[in-house]
Amino acid sequence: RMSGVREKALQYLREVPRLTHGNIRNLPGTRTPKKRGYGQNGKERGWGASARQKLHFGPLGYESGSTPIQRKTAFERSYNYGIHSVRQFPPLSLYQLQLAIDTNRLDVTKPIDMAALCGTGVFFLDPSKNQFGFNLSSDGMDLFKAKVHLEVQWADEQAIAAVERNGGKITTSYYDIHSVIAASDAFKFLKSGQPIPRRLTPPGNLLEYYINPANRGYLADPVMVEKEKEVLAQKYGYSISDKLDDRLLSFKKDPRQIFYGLEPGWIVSVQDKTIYKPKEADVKQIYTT
Amino acid sequence: MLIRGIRCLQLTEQCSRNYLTLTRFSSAYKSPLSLDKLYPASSGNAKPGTKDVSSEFSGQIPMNELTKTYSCSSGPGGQNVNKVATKVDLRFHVESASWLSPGVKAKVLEKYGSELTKDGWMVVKSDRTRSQTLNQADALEKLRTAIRSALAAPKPKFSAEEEERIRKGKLKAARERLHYKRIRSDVKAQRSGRDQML
Repeated sequence: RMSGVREKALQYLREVPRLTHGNIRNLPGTRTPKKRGYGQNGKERGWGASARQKLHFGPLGYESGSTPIQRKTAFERSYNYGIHSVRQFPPLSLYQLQLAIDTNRLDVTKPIDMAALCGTGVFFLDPSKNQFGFNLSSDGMDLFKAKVHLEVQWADEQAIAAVERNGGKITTSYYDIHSVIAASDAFKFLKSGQPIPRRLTPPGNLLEYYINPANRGYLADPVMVEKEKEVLAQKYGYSISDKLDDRLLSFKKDPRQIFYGLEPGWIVSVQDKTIYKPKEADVKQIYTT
Repeated sequence: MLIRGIRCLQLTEQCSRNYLTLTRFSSAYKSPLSLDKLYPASSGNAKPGTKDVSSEFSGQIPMNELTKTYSCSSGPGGQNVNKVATKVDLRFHVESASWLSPGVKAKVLEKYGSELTKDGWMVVKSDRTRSQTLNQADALEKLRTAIRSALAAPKPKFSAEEEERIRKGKLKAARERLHYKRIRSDVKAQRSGRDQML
């Protein structure tokens, strides 16, 4: 049984006239026309005495024979192409964190997350600049002594080791832009009277990062995270003896939560010191999925 | 205009006060993404690492068994290199090391016996980077590489194919040598003029 294309081709061969010299032609581009030595290909290239008496222009972009700019310059993207859409994680060094703790800007007896860091008034996140959170960098890892319950948005391996060596706990967690807007200036957000949004799951290329136990991702398997802790301790040469006290460890944040102790959907009135919770089942359902 | 520092302190006080009160309202919110729903099988207790087999080294070293010393590194660097203790010195007594299984220990002593100190301590140092943490990691890596190289089987100088080629090459060389030797002896024999018909 022949395929349709093959059938068609054979039928074509039956019907088409015999190949002759007049039937065939070269493949496009294999033959270029011979240039004659006058006119456009002559000595003055079409700009001689008699041609100059007439009004005529060269091809578009012609620069009297020198290579035109549209051929000289390459089609390159601008240096910062896509900068408006790139996700930024401005760095927060361990040195800065230690300094903030030593100068009582941060309280080590409470969990440190984006809201706490931005609440110090020393660390800033600008959601309009596509800043999605803090990137804990290892600058100052040798000096870092604090025992913290830390939640950042990105962390490199040495920063994780520095925190865990001192007996602390570190988690990397994703905040979508509206969650960043809420957490980066918590009081401003709460004053606006909006219900607390639920945090969205990380988009495709970030999901891999937050599911990886080596990054202490918030969506990683806790058992694998413990194993990775041991691996890291063996790599950097410390033993995990010190642990956070249970009170600090009891502070747990669900992947949909932005603030500790506050659920998505609640409206917090700071002035009245009340919380308004949704009653309708369909509204509740949105915030609990 | 409030001075920024004081405003910050005020904010943090307010923050901390409100945080405390708010956490009293925490109701253990659990969405479908909470970890116990994503990983129901994980009870939170990781399995302990398996013990080393007699002739193998898994790479695991108990950190309290190593004696770590930190000192200042050498080289250029001004005030920083003079003050910051970035050099790492790791030592352990090989004979009494309980974390090395007997088979591994024997091989380590065999290979590095002459490199131990007089009292039998193995010393690994590193001042490769500007950071103590990274130097410690480097020193541990050196130690693990040393132990693994002691355990590795000695590599033969030539592979099996190379050995076969060498053997054939030797035979060929002998054949050629004898071939030319016979030609020369024929030449010499013809020159001697012996057994010629007169």
